Amino acid sequence: MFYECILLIRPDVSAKHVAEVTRTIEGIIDNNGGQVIGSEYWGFKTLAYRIEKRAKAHYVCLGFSLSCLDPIYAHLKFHKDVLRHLFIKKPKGLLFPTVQMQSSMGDLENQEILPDLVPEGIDTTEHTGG
Amino acid sequence: MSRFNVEDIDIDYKNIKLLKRCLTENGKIIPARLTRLNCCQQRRMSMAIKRARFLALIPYTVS
Repeated sequence: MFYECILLIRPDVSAKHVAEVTRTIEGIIDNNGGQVIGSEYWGFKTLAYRIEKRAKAHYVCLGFSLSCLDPIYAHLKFHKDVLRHLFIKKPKGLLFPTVQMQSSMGDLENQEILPDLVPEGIDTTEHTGG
Repeated sequence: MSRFNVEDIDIDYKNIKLLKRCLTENGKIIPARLTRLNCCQQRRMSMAIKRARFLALIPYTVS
């Protein structure tokens, strides 16, 4: 099964250390008979809200195929440098580079990927109270 | 007005610009009758928004 894993790594660690954390997880995947399909560093981003009193984090995205996630769960659960992680099952396979990287590289035409979902003339602002 | 055909567009939690089209100024999810997405697409969209919120890519609420 294909999975995508997004890691939010503490802001006070260096980029070198982020690469080290990524390499460790890649090593776990390899040791358990999986295959790493893609690995991306999305950058040092500002969080939309504070997590554990931190306003920024390093974002890392890993794409891999693996039969059982337990070894990675066990590794990440008490990892002191990982603020938050998310695994997403991708039954249809993985696409690298991801949209995040493509948009940062400026490859995509915004018009193509962004249809107007809400037609003009419809008021989407919220009405509160009477 | 016709329905928008977004079948060929990948509704993904990483595509923040697309997700923001389905959010109000306060960060709430716009209902399907306004986004004009069909049932399946709206479900995928709301799932993607919730994933992006968890990863702090977009806020839960904007006060």
